[in-house]
Order: sequence, then structure tokens, then C-alpha cells
Amino acid sequence: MSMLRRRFLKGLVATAATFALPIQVAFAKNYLTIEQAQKILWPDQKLTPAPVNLTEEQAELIEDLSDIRVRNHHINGWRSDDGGWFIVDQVIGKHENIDLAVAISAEGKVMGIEVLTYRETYGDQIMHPKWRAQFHGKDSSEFLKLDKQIRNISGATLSCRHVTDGINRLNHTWSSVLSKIAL
Amino acid sequence: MNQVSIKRCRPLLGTFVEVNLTAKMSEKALIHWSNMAFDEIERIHQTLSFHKLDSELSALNIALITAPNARFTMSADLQNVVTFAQQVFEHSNGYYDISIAAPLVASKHLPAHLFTDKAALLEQQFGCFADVNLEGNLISSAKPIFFDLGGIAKGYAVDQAIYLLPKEITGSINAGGDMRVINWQKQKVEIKYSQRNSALKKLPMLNTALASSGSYYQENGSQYFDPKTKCYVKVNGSTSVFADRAMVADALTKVIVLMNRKDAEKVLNHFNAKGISINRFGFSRRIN
Repeated sequence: MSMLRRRFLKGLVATAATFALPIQVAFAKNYLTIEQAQKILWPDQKLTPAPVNLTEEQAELIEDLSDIRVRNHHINGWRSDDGGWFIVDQVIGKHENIDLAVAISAEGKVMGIEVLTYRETYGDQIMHPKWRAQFHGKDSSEFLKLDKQIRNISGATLSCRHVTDGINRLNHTWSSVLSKIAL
Repeated sequence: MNQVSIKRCRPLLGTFVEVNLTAKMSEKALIHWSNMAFDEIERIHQTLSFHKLDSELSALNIALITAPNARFTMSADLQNVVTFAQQVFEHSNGYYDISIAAPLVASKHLPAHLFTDKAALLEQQFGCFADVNLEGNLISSAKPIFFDLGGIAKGYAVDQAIYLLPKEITGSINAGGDMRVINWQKQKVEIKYSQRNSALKKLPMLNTALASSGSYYQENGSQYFDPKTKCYVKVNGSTSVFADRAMVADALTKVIVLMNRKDAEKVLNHFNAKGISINRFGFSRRIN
């Protein structure tokens, strides 16, 4: 009887251990730094930092218009001399978590999109606060050290639908908030 | 002058397109060439997109649905892709068929935007690629037909972008798994074979172009449609093809998925390509 109980306990510990194991390290690819993306998207413009904090009402309005959740009320924005915007945004999809740089002209047209960092994720680990915290507040130049050499990676085609959704959300952010901010 | 490198990634062709370039030139010049590569891929996307109503492919599709017998004049890009699709159709005994767009629209896996104001046209009997008559840049068909180039256009776009780069540039272009590596000799590639992020199999590059297929990202099952059995085929793990052009590799991954191994081997040999399958545990196997 005691042997049976020990086996049961061992099994229980083993099962618990599989759940408690650290979540596997996500695989990340780094492309441009913020400075490089600024040079590529706004080649001849001086950019001035112009961060914006959305109010609760503004975020709700953008959610209603774009039908996409506004996860972050803080907008990492820069302003060009002629009134255009450079925004660093994050998009979270089912398989990926992406830092994007987007250039929006003074007329509200998307001038270019660059992926800065692409993190492949599996399952719901992105919801895990610890996993998310490791990226918080870091800029992509820190990742460049980890990922110096170019890796050739091939696989099944991954849809960029979440990026398209993110751009849609930024378009509505521009029309309902950013376009009303004086230069 | 120092060697400079640039790594960029943009959402294009419905996926992520990665351009990695290295050369002894100014950073500004290298940025210019990376812009040229993205622009070329975008231009081909505009020409060959099934989803865009203003693409040349949509114009061809509308012509072949409404007046299949009339001859349609194709641009060089469309001609290159359709002519190659015909070669693969013939060598694969019809397993590779770009005219499977009709059952895909019928099963709602592709949008029916070509038929919005003429739904009755969708009810007619569509032909297969054997009904197509190709003469140089002219195309007509014995039966109504329309094409989806989803399984070939990405590879073609990568090829065209690589061709316009000057010789002193090395690096790679990767459009959602369809990739070309310029100096591929002695290079390694990692192939993703399952949804897990650690599921990467390292293999040596066997040629300049590589395409991979798998079903692991598909939320609603497989995207590989067998034109013979009219069913979807599920892929466990991944299949990859090395070839001298990304368009060839792109098209032949579908052939491997659909055909039995012996027949697939013949097709691969004919196009001077090498196929590799990786199962979901990460074990790789050469097909030819």
C-alpha cells in the first residue's frame, strides 16, 4: 500500500514539475534599431520625440472604430518637421509578438512599415506576465548583441494579419487623436 | 570601404518579407538596394495577386471566366509564371494545377470577389489546366477557368528581387519561407517543422533557393488541395525543396505534399531540385 502511495506521489510530483518548468525561451529576430528605422522611413526629416498618452475615452473610441483592442495607452511617437509621425508600436498575434515602426504622413497616409523585432511565441505564453516583463523597457539594440549573425530560417508561411490589424488601429489613432495635435 | 549589412523585414504578400544584404558600399547605397528589392516584390504582388481586383491576374481571370476562347495578352511576369505552372502541371500529371482556384472559391477558402455581380457564372463547369492553350504571351482556354498563383508567386517575386541586385551584394531574401541565399555554398539553414518555437532543424543549403511547406500555422486545417481527389491534404511536419530558383522550389513543395514519393522523386529530378521532409519529431529524410 505504501509503495502504491509512493508511486502515486512520485507521479504527482513529476506531473507538477512539468507544469512548473520555466517556459521555453522564445525565439526572436531583430531587424532595424529605432534610429535606423527613422532614417529609412523619414530619410530627410528631423524627428522630435512626441509621446502621447491616450485617455480612456480616446482608447475606447479607437477600439470602437477599428474593432481592435488597444492594449497600450502610451504611444511612442516622434514628430517630423512637416507634421508627419513616426510611431513604434507592438502587435501581439497568436504566434508572434512584433515591434513595428510606422511612418504616417501629415495627411494620415501610411508611408512605410518596418518590423523592428519579431518574437515567435507558442501558445499563450505571451499572456504570462514574467515572459512579457523580460522585454519591457528594452530597446532592440540590446537584442542585437544576442543575435549578431544572420540566421536563414525557412518554414510555413505565417500570415501578417495581426500587423494589418495593428496598422488599422494606428490609422484610427491618427484620425481620432494624432491629427488633432498641433505641431 | 567597410563592409556594411542591413536586415529589414516588412509585411508584404500577406506575410513577412525579410531582406538581409551585405556589401562594401555606403549604408545609404545599401538601403537604396534594399528599398529596390522590396519595391520589386511589391510590384509583382500588385501584378499577380488573386485578391486584388485591379491586378493583372484578376484581369486575366475575368477574361478567362467570361470569354475563355478569346486570346489574352500577358505581361512578361504573368507569362513567366503561367508558363512555368504549365510545365509543372504536365510533369506532375496534373497534381500541380493553378486552376484549383475554382474549388477553393466554391469551398470559400478563396474569396468570390470575381463573381460579386455575376454569381451565376460561378455555377458553370470550370476546366482544368489541360484546357489551357498557351502560345508565347497569348493565353486562351477551351473551358471557363481561373487561376490562383498563391503557390508560386511569392517564389517568383523573390527571384526577381534577387536578379536586380548588383553582383557585389550578398545576403538573402525570405518571403514567408520562400527564400534565396546569394552565396549559399557552405551556408546552413534552419527549417521550422512544427509550431513549437524550438522546432528548428539545421540543414546545409543544397542550392540557392529553398521553399518550405507545413500546416502548423493554419488555424482551420490544411491549405493543400488535391485536384484529383478534391480533398485537402494534411501535412505533418514540413516538406522543403531546394532548387536554383525560388519559383521552382515554391511550386514543387506542393507537388511533394500531393504526390506519392516515387512520382515526386521523378518530378524533383526533372527540375533539378532536391526534396527533404521533416516529421513532427524533427527527423529529416531526403526524398531524392
